[in-house]
Amino acid sequence: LSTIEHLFNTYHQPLVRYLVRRLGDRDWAEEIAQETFVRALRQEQIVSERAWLFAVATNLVRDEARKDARRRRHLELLREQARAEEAVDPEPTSLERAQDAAAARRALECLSERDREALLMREEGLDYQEIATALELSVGSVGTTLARARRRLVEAHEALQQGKGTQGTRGTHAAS
Amino acid sequence: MQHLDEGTIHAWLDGALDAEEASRVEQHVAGCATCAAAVAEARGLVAGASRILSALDDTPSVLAPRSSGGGSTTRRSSSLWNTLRLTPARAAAAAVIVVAAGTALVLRRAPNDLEDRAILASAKGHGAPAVMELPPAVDSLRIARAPERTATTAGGAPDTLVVAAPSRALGGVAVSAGRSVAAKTAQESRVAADNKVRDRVTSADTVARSIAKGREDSTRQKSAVSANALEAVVTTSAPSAAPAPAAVGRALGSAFSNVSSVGCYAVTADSIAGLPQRLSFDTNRVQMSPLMQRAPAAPAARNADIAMRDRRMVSSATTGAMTPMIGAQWERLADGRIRLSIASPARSVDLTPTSNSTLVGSTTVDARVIPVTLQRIECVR
Repeated sequence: LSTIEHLFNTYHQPLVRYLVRRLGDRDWAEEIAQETFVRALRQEQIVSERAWLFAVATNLVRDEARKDARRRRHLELLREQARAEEAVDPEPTSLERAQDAAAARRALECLSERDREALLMREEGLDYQEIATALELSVGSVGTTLARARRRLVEAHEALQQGKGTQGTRGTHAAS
Repeated sequence: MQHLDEGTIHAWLDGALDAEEASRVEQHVAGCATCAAAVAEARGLVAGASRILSALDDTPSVLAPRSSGGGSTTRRSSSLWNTLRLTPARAAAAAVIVVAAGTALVLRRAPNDLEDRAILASAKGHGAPAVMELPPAVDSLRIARAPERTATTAGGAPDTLVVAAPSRALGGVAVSAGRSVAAKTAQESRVAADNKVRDRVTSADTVARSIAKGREDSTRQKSAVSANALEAVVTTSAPSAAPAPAAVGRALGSAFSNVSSVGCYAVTADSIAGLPQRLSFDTNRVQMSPLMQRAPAAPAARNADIAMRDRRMVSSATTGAMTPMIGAQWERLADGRIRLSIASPARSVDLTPTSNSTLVGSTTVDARVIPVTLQRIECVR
């Protein structure tokens, strides 16, 4: 039991962030994280904890995503776009943040699943060995995977930004 | 040596190469302008990708109004409750379980009335307590003992009733048991108010520790082991000014014809107050908690009461359109001030109109008084 507590305290936050970034849906992310830790409870022994947790979470996402991938992705995009675009009289920094998030989401969708997962795992501090374990890659290919993922992400993001042009109007707001 | 491939450069920057390889790369980069440029570019990609991805952390839940501030992920407490799906709706369900299973609040006479008036609120994932707001009309509370559970009461200051359930006992079960159990227990428990009793709440600040036995799936129970305590706070508004007739809340409600406070406002307050940046006082939205809808069938008067309550909902927005805030309400006090009650974080702000378009008040956070100003703005929906 103390093991699960340790696992939880150590990895919950990065795992949820990984999943939120991956899924664009906090509730969904937390459901997957919960299921991951429930599975960890059932597991007798976990050798590479972080790699195991991220692998299980990733597989859960894939399983679910397979079921209704297109529908969900579409909805996510619509929601993020709606949040960004329907913001009339917006609080400026929030509007910017919503737009940033929508652009980042779209850019991330341009990556292959594996590249995306590897990159998101790396961002949560997994080392190459752990990423290789979680995604069943060879350690030697992780660098190439990450290089490709980062390049695509940045390039896709730039392309989206340029395509969009600048958005001018800013509302006023009083909150500090 | 050949030029470095991009994968090796990234591996090097990520510190994934062993010492020998790393020094080889380093040497090469020092003497090769092409590769030095590639390294510089790779650094840019590493940083750029991180920056882009961090924008994704600003992903809100569907209903929970996010307070202003930075990355919401990092701000969330790393509690098992989060993992155990403590979404607003679920937290609301959990709050009902805690309250219903752990205690029965029994007020003299007029059974069900309190239920009518209690506004079920929810906690965000921040570990903020779930709140049930009770109207000023609730004058006295009594904690009844429920089987299998303990409830202790203590006298003291008159404003707050805290119902706390140590999560070790409640665990994920309460949360995952979810709405069905919540609805059921809510029905089972008798929560009643006496809206005619004039005496103030004298037994305030009552703390009930309720230990509910999880009866579900042991796996979930196990996972609850390190969960933080879930607290449900039941707040009764302190009777303001002179002995407010208990019926005053209702009278105000039914006589509520002054709609001048209705509208949208920009909120100025320290972010610690956790208030939305924009909110609106609504009178025309009918928003009922599904849990409350499942409360026992009500007499006609009760329905009228519910409608009245629902017309005083609050919506909020940080970005985009106004969204109804779960558990938030506003009311006009006898002295003309507006009381804004927000569930998550639990805040109560009494606002004094200083002009047609400005409401000024304050709220207390961790013993700090935070000034709050609401400035009327154009409503855009």
